This record gives sequence, structure tokens and C-alpha cells, in this order.
Amino acid sequence: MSHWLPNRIMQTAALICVGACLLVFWLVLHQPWLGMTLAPQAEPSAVRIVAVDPDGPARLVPVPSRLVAIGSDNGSRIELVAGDLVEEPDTLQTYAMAAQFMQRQTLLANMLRDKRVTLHVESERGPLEVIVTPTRRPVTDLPSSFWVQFITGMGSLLLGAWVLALRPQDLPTRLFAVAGAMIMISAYGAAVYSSRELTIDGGLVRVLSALNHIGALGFGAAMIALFLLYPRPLVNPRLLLALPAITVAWLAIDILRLPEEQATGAQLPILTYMLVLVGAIGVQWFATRRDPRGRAALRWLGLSVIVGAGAFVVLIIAPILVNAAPVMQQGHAFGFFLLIYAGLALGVSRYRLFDLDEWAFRVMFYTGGVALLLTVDALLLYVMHLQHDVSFSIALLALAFIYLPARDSLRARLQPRSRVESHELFREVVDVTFAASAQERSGRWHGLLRRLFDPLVMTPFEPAVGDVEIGQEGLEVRLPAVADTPSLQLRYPWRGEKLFGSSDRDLARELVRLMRYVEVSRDAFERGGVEERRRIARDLHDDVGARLLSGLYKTEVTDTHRVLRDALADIRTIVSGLSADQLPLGQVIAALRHEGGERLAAAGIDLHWPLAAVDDSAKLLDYRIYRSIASAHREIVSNVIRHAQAKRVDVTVTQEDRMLSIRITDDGIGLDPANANGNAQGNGLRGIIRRLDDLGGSFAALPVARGSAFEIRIPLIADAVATGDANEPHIQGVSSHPARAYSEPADAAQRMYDRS
Amino acid sequence: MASTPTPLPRKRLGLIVEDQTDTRAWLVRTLGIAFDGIAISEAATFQAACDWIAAQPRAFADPDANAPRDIALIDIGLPDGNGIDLIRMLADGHPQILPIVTTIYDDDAHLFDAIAAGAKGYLLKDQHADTLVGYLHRIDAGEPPLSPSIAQRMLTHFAKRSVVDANVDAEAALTPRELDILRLLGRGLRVAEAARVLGLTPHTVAGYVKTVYRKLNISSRAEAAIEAMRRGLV
Repeated sequence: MSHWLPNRIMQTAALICVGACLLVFWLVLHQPWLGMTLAPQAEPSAVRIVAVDPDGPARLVPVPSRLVAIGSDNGSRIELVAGDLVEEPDTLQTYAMAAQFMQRQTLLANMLRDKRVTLHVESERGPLEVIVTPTRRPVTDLPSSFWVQFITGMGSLLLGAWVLALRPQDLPTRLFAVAGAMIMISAYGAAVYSSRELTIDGGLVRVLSALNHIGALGFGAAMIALFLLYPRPLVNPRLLLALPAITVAWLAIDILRLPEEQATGAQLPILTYMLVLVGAIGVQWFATRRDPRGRAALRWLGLSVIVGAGAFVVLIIAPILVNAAPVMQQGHAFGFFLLIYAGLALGVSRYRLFDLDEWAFRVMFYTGGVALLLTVDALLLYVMHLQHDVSFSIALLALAFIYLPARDSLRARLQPRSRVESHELFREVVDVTFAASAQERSGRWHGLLRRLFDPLVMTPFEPAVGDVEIGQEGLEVRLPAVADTPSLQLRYPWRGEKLFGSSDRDLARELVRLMRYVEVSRDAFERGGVEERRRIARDLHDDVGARLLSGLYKTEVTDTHRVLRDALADIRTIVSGLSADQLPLGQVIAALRHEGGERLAAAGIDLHWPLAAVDDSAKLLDYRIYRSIASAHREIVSNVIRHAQAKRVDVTVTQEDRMLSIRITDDGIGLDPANANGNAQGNGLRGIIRRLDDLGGSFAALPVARGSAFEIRIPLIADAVATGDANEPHIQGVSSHPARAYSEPADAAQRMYDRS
Repeated sequence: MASTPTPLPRKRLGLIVEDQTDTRAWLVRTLGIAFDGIAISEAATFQAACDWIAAQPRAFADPDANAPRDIALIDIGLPDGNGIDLIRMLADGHPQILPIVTTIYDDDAHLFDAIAAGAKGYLLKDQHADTLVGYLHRIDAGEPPLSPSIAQRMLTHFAKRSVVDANVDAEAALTPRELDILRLLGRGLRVAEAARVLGLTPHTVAGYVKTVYRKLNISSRAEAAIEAMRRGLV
């Protein structure tokens, strides 16, 4: 069966169903018909005529009256008794009585098959003989009990097949489908003889009655087997083979009429099976005590089986066993079996019985369309006596105008839509993730979940889950920890009106995935912010702090002013790093040229810094690199202004490959040790040299004939040398390495400045 | 120190808008040194500055080019308001007063906005008093300073505008010569150096810079008007 598609199974079931329906109709409509509504009268035993069909053969018979006997043209006559109207022959006490009943039915049926019969009627005005010609029975004359059995049989078969179609591999669903077919056999058998007007061939009754019993006991056996396996397997499936063996044996005893009492052959096994069934469900109840999912499935299926089959047994079978009259018409009681299958449909939609999901309904809707088309078509053909092509067109129209809209609205109800459009989802998630505080984030997350699922209960859940999980057959869903909120359990969605389905799980998964993604991005962003703050803190401490401290010890106000201005210049560079982590090289050079020019001009020194190709370089420099260049340049200019007594400063900037070189020469007195006063500059220069060195650059004093010359060299892309220095945050791929020994020229310069 | 040569028909007025007391006192001293006999008012808050401006006679015509201009030194970050609004007020209704921004950083983002709002120059507050006096005189003479970063932002601003609405107001578009000067200043050259590169006198170059200031103000007003129209405010 593995290659059977769901729709193929459903189509087969529909075909079987149509065949069975046609057979039943043929049987009930081909019985001779008089057009009388008859009722049994107990004391004295008689058959009352309650009503006559105004268009039927017996329309001239007066009502109320009694049908005393039926006679034929050849003079034979059969007196009627109340027992001839028995609905179900197995309610008769003994098999002998049943046999006698069937015999009389055969005689009557043969008589009515003649062209004309004489009805011996006794009314208030006295005896009367009415000669009538029986015709075929119209569909409209069929009693309600027939229709109940007809629909029950059809519904059971199709719903059983539906479950089978969705999980054809599972033994429980197969058993459930068999049980449905059994109900159809049982109901259709009874439907034919119990809806007869007065008579039907006794041989046919015997066959149909046997079918009724086979169906009833077969249903019981299949259900017992089902509940021995589902929700939890209680016995080895092989042991279940005993059930059909017992059933066949008992049926043989019944059909061969071996006992005297019918109760022994017919009702006793049904009652026994019912008790066993209830027992099996009870054991299942115990077995599923730690399996809420199985328990939920059992609750629905078990309850509907006990209520459906139990009501039939209690109302119809049990009274017979104690020699009482059934409480209601058996035909109507068959409707209880439909309860079982209605319960099944509900169970599938609410608790995913047999693990069927919402998509199961799509299959049912599709098949429902086909079944409706055929049913409407058949009804129009038989009841309205329309031509086939006309009836089919009308059936198609009915399908298009009634069924399809109804199906869509039903499906919409069964498959709840989320209350937030998916394109809004991302915005919602971002709103949650970027809320200011953890508490607010958690609050917004709760709010979003409430809007999406509207659960009655939302509680933290331990242990935390890693992925979205649906539990308790859809009663609850568990979400992993996101948005500064622990793992959450949501129960009773949509104010308890519905359950979590697979679409909700998908939505929740998508939500969690988005949340995580946005949170990771936000964290990365925040990490960047933290690094930035650390960088600022370090620069403020190392540069500005050190300068201000040295300013504190200056005795000359002008010195203090100078220190403060230098500190402000440092802040300027630090601040420019705030607005952009990277600056174009051209912009850095422009700023240095401008600043140096202004400062030198104020000191009466000419700056000659010719335009060069590198001025237009758009190469982006990381903060640490341009900061080092700026500090080094600023320091050199300061020293020249203070100590060199120069008239002119020349600056050239060149770039070779990745190495930027800035050469600053002056025409002053050279670096006379007498002019290098104190540690302030020494400290400043030392820091600059270390910083350049860290970045793979260098600082050098060049030998010149007059004045002095310095060269700053720095690679524009710092070597990505990984270090273990945890205090040094990594910025834009720049890394540091432990300070190396100063390179020789830098060392020389250092010594020159350090001398005091 | 420089001093104004001719007797004045009336006293030159000065306004210092600065919330830091020491800085304000220092600015008052420096402004007093720069312009002899100037009558200086001080405002520590936005509101006080507003009141002072409101007390001044409104002038709608361009002021006499030879008459000495009143000077307002305005800090942008005030505790109760934005100095740029004061600059706009002065530029709109008091052309006889030169609004000058005082700032610590010459690449401050607000500096560009202040110039666009009509500031006629800016001063860096961490400079030497002597330097500051020199700048004040130059601004007064129509030679406003222009840092590389401001020059670069101006270039970007006008390049964007010429793409957006080249023919809306030719008045606000830069000439090739003005662009040349902006490019040189944007590379860090000072006015004298730019003049040397272009073979012009520093005075001429400074005049161009003044024109660029004016055009930025015009174009930003036009931009604001277009923006207002687009939003349906006008």
C-alpha cells in the first residue's frame, strides 16, 4: 500500500461507497410497494394502517383502519399479525421465531409480486376489500431510519478511509478504517430490511441480517484491536489474530442458528465485545498516564467510541438481553456510530489524532467535493427524475456555488492565520531587540507573543529548550530563551479557542530565528561601541591626561597654555575618530598641513609643504594610524617651534607601496642639547615612538648639514600581528604587538630629547 | 594692536554669547583689544542673546560697506538653545551685525551648519589672544577663515547641488575659480599659499572665500525652501 497516494485511497473508498449505495437503493426500491404507513398493534395483535400515500396504489384505502389480510387473485389469503412488522428479526427471542418470521416474509413477498392483490381492510364502516396493483417504491417514501443508517454507513466508511489514506502504513489507522467499513456493512444490511414497507424476501432478510451481525461484531473486533495498539501498544500485534478467529467462530454459531436463544448468538457477543472494548480503553488510560499526548488522543477517541458504540449497546442490545423492548428504533440508533467518526474529525483537528495534521482536512475537503457532486447528481436523477446531463450540470453548479465557498470558510476557521503579517514581523523583532533595557526588551517580547498567539498562560519554563517545541498535543508551545527572557511556555493559545499547529510552530521558529539574528547583530554593534569607549578612555588617559598633568607642574603660565593647547589638539584628533573610524589619507594630510601652517605662521616660521599626488589619496586610514601620524607630526612641529629657532620648515609626504613617509626639515640651529628642556617633550616623543613602533612604523632623526630633519614612516595597512594583549581592543583589523626595542635612529632621537 | 582709523558716527557694538564665564571674560577682553571703543554686551544664555538681538533695530537694506559692522561672537552649544538659530536671526534681520561662530574644533559638524546659516566667520577658542585678534580683523575686513574640513564639506555640498538643481539658482553656484580655491584650501593650504599657487593676491583669494560663504548661505536657504515646499509647508 506504500505506493498508494492519499487521494487514490479516498477515490477507491468513494467508489466502494457509491457501489454500496447503489446496491442498497436498488434493493429497497425494487420491493413491491403499496403506499401505506403501517404500525403494529400489540393487543389484539394486528396491523394498523396509519396513513396512505395519496398517489400510491392504496390511495383508496380509508384511514385509520386495520389491514387484516392480503389475498391474491388465485384465492389464497394470508392473515397479518403484528410480528410481521418487526423492524429487526434478531430482536425475536429464539432462532425458531426468526425463521418463522422470514418464512412469512417470503410468502407475503411472493404474493405481492403478483400483478394484483386484494387488501382485506377493516375500518370503522366495516370490512372492505381493496384491489391494488403494487408498484415500485419511490425514493421519497423511504423512512428517516433508512437515511440515518445510510448516512452513518457512508460517513463511517469515508472517514475511516480518510484516516487510512493519510497514514496507510499504520496498523491503528487500518483497523480504524476496517471498523468504518464494518459499520457500513452492518448499517446497510439493516437499512434494507428494517425500512421495508411490509415485506421483503425472507432469504434476503437472512443474508442481510447475517451481514448486519458480521458488521456489528467485526466493528467490535476491529475497535478492540485498535485500542490494544493505540495510543500505546499493549499486546503483541500477532496476538490480535485471535480476535478474528473468535469473531468468525461466534458469527458461525449465530448464522448457523446453533443456540436456541438469539440473544446467545447475536446480542451476547456484541455486549461482550463492548465490555472488552471499554476494558481496553481503561487499560490504555492507565498506560498513557505519563504520556499526555497519548492521553489526549485517547480522551477523544476513547470517549467517542464509548459514547457512540456504548449508546447503541445500551439502548438496543442490552434491553433484548433482558427480554425488554429496545428503547428506540435501531435504525435511528445507528446514528450514534456517526458520533464516533465525528469525534474523530474533531480529534484530528484539535489533538492531531493519529498524528494527522491540518493538511488532513485538505484531503477530506477534496474528497468531500467529489462525494457531494456524485450525491447531488444521484439525488437529482432519482428524486427529481431529471435527464443525466441536466442533473450533472446542476450538481456541478451546486459544487461551485455552495460547496467551494463553504469549504474555504471552513478551512479558514480550521487553519488560523497569524495576527501579524509576516512582513511586519521583522520590524516587530527589531523593535523588541533594540528596546533600551533588558526589562523593556523582555516586556516587548511578551507583548509580541501575546499579539501573535494570545495565550491564556505565559510562564518561564525549565529546563530551557533550544528550539520551538509543541507539547500537550498543541495545548502549549515552548520557546527558547531570547530577548533577555528565559525559555517561555505558552499555553491555551487564542484564549483557549484553538491549539498550536504546525503553522504556528513555523511562525514561532521564524520569530526566534529573526530574534537571534538581530540580537547577534545588535551585540556586535554594541561590542563596537564598547571598544570605541575603551579606545577613547585609553587615549584620554594616555594623551590628554598625561599632558594636563605635566601642565599642572609648569611654573610659567605660557607653558601651561601651551600644554593645554596641545591637550585640546589631542582631543580634536580623538573626537574626529568618533565621527569616523577611518579617514581618507588626503584629509589627514590636509588637516596636518593646515594645522602646522597656522602654528608655524603664528611663530613666524614659513611652511613649505608642496602639493603632491598623495594629497588626493582616498585611501582610508584606521584611527590608530592617522592618530599616530598626527601626534608625531604635531610633536615635531612643536619641538621645531620651541627649540629650533628656524625660519623655514619643509615638509614632504611620499608613499611607496604601503609605506607612508613624512619628512620634516628645518633650517634652525639643529637639535642643540641645551634646547631640549626636560621630560615633557621626551615623554611625548617616547609615546609617539612606541606607538609608531607598535604599528610597524619608525621614527628617525636624519643626518643633515644644517638644522635638523626627521622622518616618520608608517605602513598604511598595519600588520595583522595577533597578540595576547587583552587590554588592547582590536579595531578595524589593526592589532598591536609587544613593544620592540627602539630602532637605532629612533633611539638616537630619543636620547637627544631625553638629555636634560 | 590694530585700531579703527577714523572717528565713528556711532559706537561699534559687540555681543559675546558664551555660557562659560571665564571664556566669556576672555572673549570680552580679546574683542575689546581688537576693536577700540567697542561697546560689548554679554549673554550667558540663548534667551539673553535673543533679548539683545530683539533690542537692535532691524535693517533690511545691505549696510553701508564702509560703515563699521557690529560683531557678535556666538557659541553654538548653549544650555538653553542652539547658537545657529541666533546666527540665522542675525543674518535674516540684522545685516549690520557680523555673526561669528566661536568653537573649539574647526571640523565640528555644527560649524558647517553655522556657516550655512549665515555666519561670516569662525574663531577657534583655544588660540592665542594675538592670533584671535588677527582673525577678527581679517573677518571684519572680509577675509573669513576656512579650514580644510569645512572646505571639503563645501565642495561636497556644491557638487551635490549642481547635480540636483544646477539651473535653479545660478547665483548660488560656484565659479571654476571658486572651486579651485576650495580645493586648495581643502588640501590644507592657507589663503596665502593658495594665492601663491594660483598666482593671485591673498586679498583676492580671501574675497573668493567670502563669496563662497555667501553662496553657501544662499544655497542652503534655497535648499530649505525647496525642502519646505516638498513637505508642503509653504
